[in-house]
Amino acid sequence: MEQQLEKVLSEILTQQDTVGALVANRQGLCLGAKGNINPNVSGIGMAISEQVAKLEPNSTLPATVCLYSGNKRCVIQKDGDITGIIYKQTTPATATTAASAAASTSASN
Amino acid sequence: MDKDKQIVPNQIGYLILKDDGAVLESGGDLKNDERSANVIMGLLNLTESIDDNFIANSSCERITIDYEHHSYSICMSNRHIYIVKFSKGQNGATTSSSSSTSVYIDANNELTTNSGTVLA
Repeated sequence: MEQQLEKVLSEILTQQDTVGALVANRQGLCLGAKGNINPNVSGIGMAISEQVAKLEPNSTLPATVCLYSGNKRCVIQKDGDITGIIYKQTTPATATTAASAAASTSASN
Repeated sequence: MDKDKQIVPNQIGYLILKDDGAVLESGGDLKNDERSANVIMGLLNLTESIDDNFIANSSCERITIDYEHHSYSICMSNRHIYIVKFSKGQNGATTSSSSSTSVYIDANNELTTNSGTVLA
């Protein structure tokens, strides 16, 4: 079971600008964390997702919460008993790398 | 002129709160919606300290809550909390484009009338 969870977390980390990912259970306990993220965030992340669930209790699909601070984003989504938290950070360096990678790809083509 | 304040084109509701959570203004889907205001105040209290190493305490400048067909955007400025509910997708786009067109038409009419009076 953990292996599957680890695999999903690793997959999330491969996404652009993602620096850390974590999954928490309904008690707010961390089920798994990968990358640059504090496992203690699971509690507050779960509390945030529970609070947002009160906004539209009749909604069938879960809401996605995104907290913005400068070039950083914290994305939280609750689905059933599980809450996922993703840290994202856009840096000029990654943008340059992406641009140069795209340039080299087009050059090689 | 419509009674509701239009902050963004595809807006379907808005709330303006004082930093203590008191509702100052509201309109659209969120008209007099104190329940949503209380839930959002609870959310803001929770987001004050998430992870000091990643997002410094009280440095969160904007919060969005995304649903399938609509979303909320929450910002704080000048000790006031601004909450806007927007529609998205086909229905929302149609409504917003038609409403924005009418706004432009109104504005154009107003401009022509004004220029007319100026010229006269």
